[in-house]
Amino acid sequence: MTIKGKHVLQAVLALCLSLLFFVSFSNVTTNDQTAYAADNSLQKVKEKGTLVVATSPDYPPYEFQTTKNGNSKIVGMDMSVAKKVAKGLGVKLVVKSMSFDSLLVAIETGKADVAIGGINPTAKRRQSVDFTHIYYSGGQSFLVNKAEKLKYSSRAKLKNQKVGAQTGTLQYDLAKQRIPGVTVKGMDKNTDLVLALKTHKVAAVGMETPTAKAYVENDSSLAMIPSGYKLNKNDVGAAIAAPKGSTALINAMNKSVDQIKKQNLTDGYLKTAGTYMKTNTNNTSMFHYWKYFAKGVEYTMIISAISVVFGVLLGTLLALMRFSHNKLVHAIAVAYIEFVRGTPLMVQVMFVYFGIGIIVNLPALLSGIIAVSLNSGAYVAEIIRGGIDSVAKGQTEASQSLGLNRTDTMRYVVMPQALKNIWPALGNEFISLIKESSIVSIIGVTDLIYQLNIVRADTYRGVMPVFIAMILYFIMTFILTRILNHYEGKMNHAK
Amino acid sequence: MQSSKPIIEVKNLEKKYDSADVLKDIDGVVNQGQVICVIGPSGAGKSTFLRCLNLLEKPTSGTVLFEGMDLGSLKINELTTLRERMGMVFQSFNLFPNMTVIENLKLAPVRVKHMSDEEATKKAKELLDRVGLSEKADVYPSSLSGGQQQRVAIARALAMDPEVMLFDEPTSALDPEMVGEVLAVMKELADEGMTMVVVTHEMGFAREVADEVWFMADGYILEKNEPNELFNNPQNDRAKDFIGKIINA
Repeated sequence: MTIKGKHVLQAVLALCLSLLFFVSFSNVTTNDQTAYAADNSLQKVKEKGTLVVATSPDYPPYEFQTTKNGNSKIVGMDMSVAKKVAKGLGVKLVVKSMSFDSLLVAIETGKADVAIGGINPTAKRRQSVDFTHIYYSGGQSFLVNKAEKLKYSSRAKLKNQKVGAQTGTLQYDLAKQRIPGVTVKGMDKNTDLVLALKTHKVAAVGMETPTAKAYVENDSSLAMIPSGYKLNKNDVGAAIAAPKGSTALINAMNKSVDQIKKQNLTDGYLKTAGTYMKTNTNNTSMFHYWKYFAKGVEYTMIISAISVVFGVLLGTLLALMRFSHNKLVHAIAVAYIEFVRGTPLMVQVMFVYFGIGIIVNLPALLSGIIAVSLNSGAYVAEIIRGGIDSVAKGQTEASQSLGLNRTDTMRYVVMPQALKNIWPALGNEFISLIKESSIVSIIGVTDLIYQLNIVRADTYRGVMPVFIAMILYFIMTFILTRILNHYEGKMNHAK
Repeated sequence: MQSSKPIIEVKNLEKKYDSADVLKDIDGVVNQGQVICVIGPSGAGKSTFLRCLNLLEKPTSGTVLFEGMDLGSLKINELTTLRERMGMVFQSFNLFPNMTVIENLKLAPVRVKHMSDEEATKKAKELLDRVGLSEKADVYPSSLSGGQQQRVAIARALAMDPEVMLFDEPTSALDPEMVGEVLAVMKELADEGMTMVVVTHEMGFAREVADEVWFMADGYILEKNEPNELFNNPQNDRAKDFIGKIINA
């Protein structure tokens, strides 16, 4: 095969991979269409006996985590609503936590039956999912620094200023459209936005009134001003999202939602949420939250350790495939490596959890480990290839001249020397895995980053948890570096 | 001890790298028990010729027969069986640095000949004794001198009981004071009747030990003769020139 032919084959294989990617995701729409044809959404939930609710518990008072009798628990107004709805359906409530961005994808891909999380049923979102009636509408406010309350006393005074809002939310769009000359600074988390406000990177942060109120109550340097937005009733407020076409389920849930609305049950729910928040903020010392961090460290280590093992196994296999004389085997390895290295880990994590998840329902932790392993395998393959290349050609020739076959030559002569050469690079890969595995928090794996966000949301302390997480990551990588150095020293001694 | 039974026969051997001709129209016969020394200026193609004999290099055309068997027709797994019958010693020793000396010697007998560990150890010790390095069995190659490493490399090749030994400039990388010890081992081997093809610049060794000396230049074998004839009375002009320079040096 000519050089050019080889590249064509690799390109074709890479394309096949992307097609697979596409097909898995496009299955989502196919599933929806079948759901349209026969709406068995309600029946399905009733048969299972559980209502799986996806939520992102970093948004008090809507949903957040609290510690009760030593156990971490998701609470908040939305959880009370979900409980009521599940009860109305006559099924058990199961809560699945993940990042806010992943909520709608989770229900589209069947990872959860419904999503709740202060979600505004905007027209854009209605294109991909269906919503119940609105169960709560708290109105819109701006959070400002108390010292600047007079300077920015109304929306009109925010003209030509920088205003923060969560990316992909109603607040973001509203600020952009209705404040003249504004620069909207979008971030993922309210905790980050508030930090930006306190450090004067933005003049105000747009958020739901109850959330803003919670911040003001917990931080004396903050104040809130009314937004003065005049809004379409359908757009404001929070509703429960369900997959498109699950009308039966929506109708059944609406019975409970209407009841909540009619009896103003959310007032009580908010009060309960408030007590939980008080216990959270009663003691915002980081020691009080050590269990969250400990669990985060545990998961981060589990993910990294398992992934590094499988990454090395897969990487070795791929590297050997690259050295194969069989052109197809070689091209498959090259295509895999190039494809994986050419796409972000975050996308791969979501692909495994949501994409592959359509075919096999993988739990978040397992999906995270698989994605990180598959990713690491590609990088390790390149490290090992470099290691094999670094072994002098004379070594292979000497081994062959003694009559050893290719496998034995690899196993006894080349690989042991290659491994020694690449040990530092493999160690670096392990260390970067510890850090990069943090991306799995987006699918709700409770690693250190995930826990960090929970603690920040619970305690209303923006910087301290970040600092703690930083120290913990450093301790992990530092200890690992020492261990790796120890073994490297041992190997050098052997020579 | 010498017979006229040919072990290696080379016919019309050619080797090209891209468009450069490295070997042209090579013919030659190595009989059992014969010691052939291949001499000639750098770039003559001597090493490439040697490496074509055990197919570390694939000839572009022509045939190499090993005991009548055409090497060009061999499959990969047959190739390894062929190679275990031809020992090779390299200019840069190529000992495996990740193994001790004795492990270097035992690897091929155990993996290729499926010898028991005990048997392989016994054999390795005998061979180390033969090259005078018994006490170095358990050290790593990096702690040995160049001469010692090359003697281990010879012992390693001998551990497979080869029928032919190929030497690719075995003393070129050595400090002068170590050349003697390696040549002594090789001479002993020749005296025991081993069939050897030696690419070398050691004219003294060639004169003393070789049954036949082949002079190579520009990819051709230009002259083959008994050492005394070739060194004292070369026929080919290039050979005359080369030998004249060496003797006057």
